[in-house]
Parts: sequence; structure tokens; C-alpha cells
Amino acid sequence: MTSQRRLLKELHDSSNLPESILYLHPIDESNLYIWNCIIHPENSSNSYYKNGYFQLKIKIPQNYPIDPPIISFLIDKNKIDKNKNFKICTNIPHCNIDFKTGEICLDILKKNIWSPAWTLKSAIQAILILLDNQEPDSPLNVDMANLFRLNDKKAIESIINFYINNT
Amino acid sequence: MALSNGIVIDNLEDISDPSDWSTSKFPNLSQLDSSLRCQICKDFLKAPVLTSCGHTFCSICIRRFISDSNKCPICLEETYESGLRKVLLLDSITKWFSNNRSELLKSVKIDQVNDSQDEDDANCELISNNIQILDNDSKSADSSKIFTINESPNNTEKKDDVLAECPICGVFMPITDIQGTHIENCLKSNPEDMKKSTQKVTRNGSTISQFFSERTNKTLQKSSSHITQQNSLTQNESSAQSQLQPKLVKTKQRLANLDTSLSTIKLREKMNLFNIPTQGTRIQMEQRMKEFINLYNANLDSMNPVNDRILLDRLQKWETLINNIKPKHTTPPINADEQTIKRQKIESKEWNNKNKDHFSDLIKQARSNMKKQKNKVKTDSDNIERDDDKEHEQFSDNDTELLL
Repeated sequence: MTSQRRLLKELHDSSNLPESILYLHPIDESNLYIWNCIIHPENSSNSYYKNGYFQLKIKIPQNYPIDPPIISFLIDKNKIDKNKNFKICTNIPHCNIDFKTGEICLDILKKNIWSPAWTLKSAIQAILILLDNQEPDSPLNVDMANLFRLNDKKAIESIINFYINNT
Repeated sequence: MALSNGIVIDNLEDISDPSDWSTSKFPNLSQLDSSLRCQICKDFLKAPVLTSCGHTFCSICIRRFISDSNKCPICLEETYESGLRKVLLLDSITKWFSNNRSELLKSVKIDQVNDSQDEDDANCELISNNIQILDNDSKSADSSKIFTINESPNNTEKKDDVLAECPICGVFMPITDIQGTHIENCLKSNPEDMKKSTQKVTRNGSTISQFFSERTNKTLQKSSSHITQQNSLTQNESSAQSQLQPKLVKTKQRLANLDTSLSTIKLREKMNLFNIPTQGTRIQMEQRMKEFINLYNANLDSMNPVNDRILLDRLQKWETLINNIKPKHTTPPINADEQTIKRQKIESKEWNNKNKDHFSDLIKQARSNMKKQKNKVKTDSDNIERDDDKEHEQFSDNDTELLL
């Protein structure tokens, strides 16, 4: 019961989102345990990803908030929300995001680091911060990590722009 | 809110949020509101406990978390279950606030018509308060410095609160008096003079000890006001009593953490001691025992502890909730009698074992069918996704129906 009440509270609070989070809502009214989220990091002006829209899929375990939510980028073109007036990018070239599965490598989403005082909103804000602070030392995307190690800014920027503009 | 489903909206209405105060006359009350909430369940604190790092949570919330990982959810510092201490005063404050919250909210809601005027009035009051305070304290420059910062009507009470210990005789008294004639008298070390000066110090002829008893009353009055209405006790007694737990609790010992190296037989004995059901696998039993220990210890932190039987009830509810994750076909139909339930439990296991291969074949077939369909119709992709998830469940559901 606790997880449900807590999720209802977060739903109540989800009308009050920061600008970079466009949408944060359960996928279905009868099921509070799968949420959908759309982010658009336009406000951080020096971000490589500022022009992109990304969709996140959030699965919530039964004993949330003791266990962390399972968040991944949605990269399946068939499942993407098409009713929006913008195009959602399904390819995310990023050191800590798996290019093929959308899996996110972020310590605070791991069970031994996660704290129940955090909310879905704060977890997504952490992902937004991860977008601008790539960690090439624990990569899920080796190619991007290599570019970051070489600090080839031009290559990084053009790769990211290529994927954002071609979806 | 885009929700159209009645169930969720019904629940949504009784969910309170600190932001409710933002439209009231005192938007700052949202700070009080949010600080009386547990950071884990985001609800008002129930039986609050203090960690060794100084943070407060509901007893049951922090116990559930700590039994998994020994750290504070806020500062991530190491915290142990044995270090938790109950905070009874906070418990009664929170209870008062959550009980009176809706009325309080109503009474400070801004009327749409008199909106601006009310605000102006409130501002006027604030300003006039400021002026008064300045007048009162202008005799002593030092104390007025303290009070002009962040002045609000609530702080006027504090005026009497700034006490300091005289460095010579060790008596507590208002700062201004120490800085005045008292120290001089003390230095003369004339005991009689000292007595006189301390008596002068006390305001309105009351003694220092009286002053302290008044002050404690003030803080406790709020927390116990709803209790005093019910009891005919004098305020002094009831404020102390509101922080007393029933005697029964004191005699009860907290349960120690579950020793996982315990043999199954001994674990069963232990569980029987509390009438906890002992069915299921070893892991299920351990989980059940752990949750019971959490519930039991949290109950001891509560102001109004409940009977062990109610705890067992809660334990059962918790378990049915956990079991909800499993496939639905394990739960028997609503109108089934006991025998069919038993039979179904045994038979469904056997049936599942027998027909494992058949099931997996069916699932394969269904998957390939789904793929074909997907290729044909690429329209409603969302629905297909959900069907995909439910697919397995549906098949096993059909099979159990055949059984009955």
C-alpha cells in the first residue's frame, strides 16, 4: 500500500515540473507502476543534446521507494509517443547509455546507492545532469567513450547532432 | 489532470501536499507542512524516530529501509537500527497538525473577493508588530539587534526567551539584566545583593522557576490541545501526559534483528511464539518474520500502540500485496469454497509441471502470430506492446479455467 500512496503523491506533484521535463505520467490510469516521461534539455545552453526530445520508460518495483525505479531510454520506434508536435529521438549516443537497449548507467539508480528520499522527479533530473556530464571511465557506449577520452569535441557534436536531426 | 479513471481520482483527493498552502494567507506554512513529513513515504510522520545522524522518519519506513542497507536516506551516513530513538513530542505535534490541517487550511484560505485587502491588512499588522518590538527593546541596544532580524508576529513570544547564564553565579536570566547591574553585584560577591538583583530581574514579579514552567507550557499546549478538550485535566498535567506511552509498551522488549543462520525448526518455533503463519518456503518465512519484526518494533514507537493481533492482520495484508506481483491464476475465484481452493492449489502446480512443454510451445506460436500481425498492421503500436506483456498470463489463465 505504501508504494501506491507514495506514487499517488508523486503524481499529484507532477504538475509542478522543471522546464526540462515536459511530461511525467503513468502510462495507464489503472497501472501506477509504469510511467512515461519526455525530456528536452534545452535549458542547459552548452549541452550537446539541447535540441533533442527523449522519451524515458520508468518501471517501478512493488516495494518502491525502498527499491529504485528502473529507468531506461525508449529506443523502440514503434513504442514511441507519436501524438506530440515534436519528434522524439530514438538514438542516444552517450558514454553511459547503451545505444542498442537504452539502458542507463547511473550509480544512484543502483540498489545500493539509491535512497528512498529521492523521487521519480529527482531521478530524472539526475539523468538530465548525466547527459551533460559524461563519464567515459564506466562506458556502456565504447565508441563515444573513446571520442570523449580523445576530447574530440567536433566529432562528438556532429555525431550527436546527426542522430538528433535524423529522427 | 488528464486522468479519467474514477478510482485514481478518488484517491488523489485525500492526498495532501505541502503546496496546498501556497494559495493561503500564510504560504510559509508549506515549510512546516513539509518538515512534518517523512522523506520516505512523503506522508505525515507516523511514530517518528530519530537516527543517529539527526534525521527523522516514520518508524516503519526507516526500519524497512535499514533492514536492507544501513544508511540514512537523507545524508547517506551509516545508521543502525539499534540507534533509532522515538520522538514523542514530534509525534504529538504531527498528530495535532494533521488532525487540524483541513480546518486550518480552510481558515487561512484567501477569499477571492477580499484578496488584496486581506493581504494589506496582514502586512499592516506585521509592520505594527515590528514597531512595537522596536519600542520595547529600544532601551537595550543589543537585544533589539537580535529581534529586528526576520521579524514576524510569532517571534514576539521569543522576546522573553533570550536567557543567558551569569558567568559568575550561574543563574539564568535575561541577557539585558546580566549586562546591566547584575554582574557588578556578582563581582562584589555579596550573596545578599545577588539575591536581590536576581529577584529584580524576573519580570512582572514572577520567579525564574515560574518563568520556566510557563515556557514549557507554551510549547506543549499546542501539541496537547486536542487531548485537553477531551480530558478534564488541568493543562499542566495533560501536556505531560500527552507524551506518555501506555505502561504496557514500557514492559515490552524490542525484537532483535532476525538471525539468518537460525535453523528452520528454530525459526518456526520463534514464529509460533507470535502466532505468525509458518507456511511457505524458507525465504518466504524469513521475509515474513523480518516484516513482523519491523512492524512490531515500529509499533513500540507509536503513541497509541495496537494489539499484536492487529499487527498480524497488517502482516497478512502486506503479504497479499507482495504476492500480487505473481501471476494472477494463483488466486482462486471469489466465490470458490475452501475445498476448491485447496484442490486448485495442488492441481495447478501439477498441471504446470506436466504441461510445461505445451505451454512454451503455445507461447512460441503466439509470439510468431504476434510478429505476423505486427508486420501486417503497424497502426496501434501501444496496444500490441501491452498485449505482448500479458500474453503469458492469459495462456496460463485459460488453462486453470479448464481445470475448474
